[in-house]
Amino acid sequence: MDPLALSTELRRSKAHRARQMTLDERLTAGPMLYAEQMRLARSLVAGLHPNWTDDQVDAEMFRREDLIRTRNTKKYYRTALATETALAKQS
Amino acid sequence: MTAKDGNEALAELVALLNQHDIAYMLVGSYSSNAYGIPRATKDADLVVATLDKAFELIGASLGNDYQAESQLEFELITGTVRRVIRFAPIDFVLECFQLSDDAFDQSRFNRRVAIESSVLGGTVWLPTPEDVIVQKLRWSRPQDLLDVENVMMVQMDSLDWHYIRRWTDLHGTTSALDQIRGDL
Repeated sequence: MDPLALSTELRRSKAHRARQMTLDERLTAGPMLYAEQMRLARSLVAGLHPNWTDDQVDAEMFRREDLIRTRNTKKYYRTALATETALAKQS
Repeated sequence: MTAKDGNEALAELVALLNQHDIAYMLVGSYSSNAYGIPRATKDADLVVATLDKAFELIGASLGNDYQAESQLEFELITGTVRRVIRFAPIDFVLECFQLSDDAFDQSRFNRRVAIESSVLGGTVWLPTPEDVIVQKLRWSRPQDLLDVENVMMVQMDSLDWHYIRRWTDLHGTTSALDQIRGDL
């Protein structure tokens, strides 16, 4: 199967599974999925850096989360009562 | 009660809003998850009719685990105000937006629907799937466009495309709508 067809099939399969869930199950699935993804990502980071301590792995996870949060908010929000310097940093 | 996960933190907030008849709806990833293919999320977004009153209640009722950030922020698409509450034990973020005067914001709020959620402990208000699509196209961040695709894939046959198109024409997002729909 070529990659595009495989990708399409995977998406259809996911949509099919989502339709089998109740609205309440879909509505509240996000935090549990997040916890699962974080556990997986953390174990991968730890595996890539076997010499790191738990604190170092945690710091890397925080750094990545912060990058995502910044990407999702930077262009879309301005702080109220912000100084010119703060505005310049955000832009 | 000590909340153990994001849903329980959110359940306490919506119970408080319901109890005091403060009109709200859950938007963002919770709403796109409800109608689409669920994805991971570490925050919950709410549009609230009376944000100041809600924050007075939160401060008075929800306890020290809920930490309201003092900084107000303006959301740049509709110009409305955002305030953030952090549920400290698990760093789960509750983002609350004041209902704005923007025509679409008013429309989707008036069309919101009540659903019963056993996980969230009762009635929860959501925008319609059409309004989730229109709003996410308006934001158009990469994740928003994926959410649009996921909602379309699950809801395709039941969507009111005429309604969606009326708003996307106004917002200039019809080409993005057509591209995503065409790729399905």
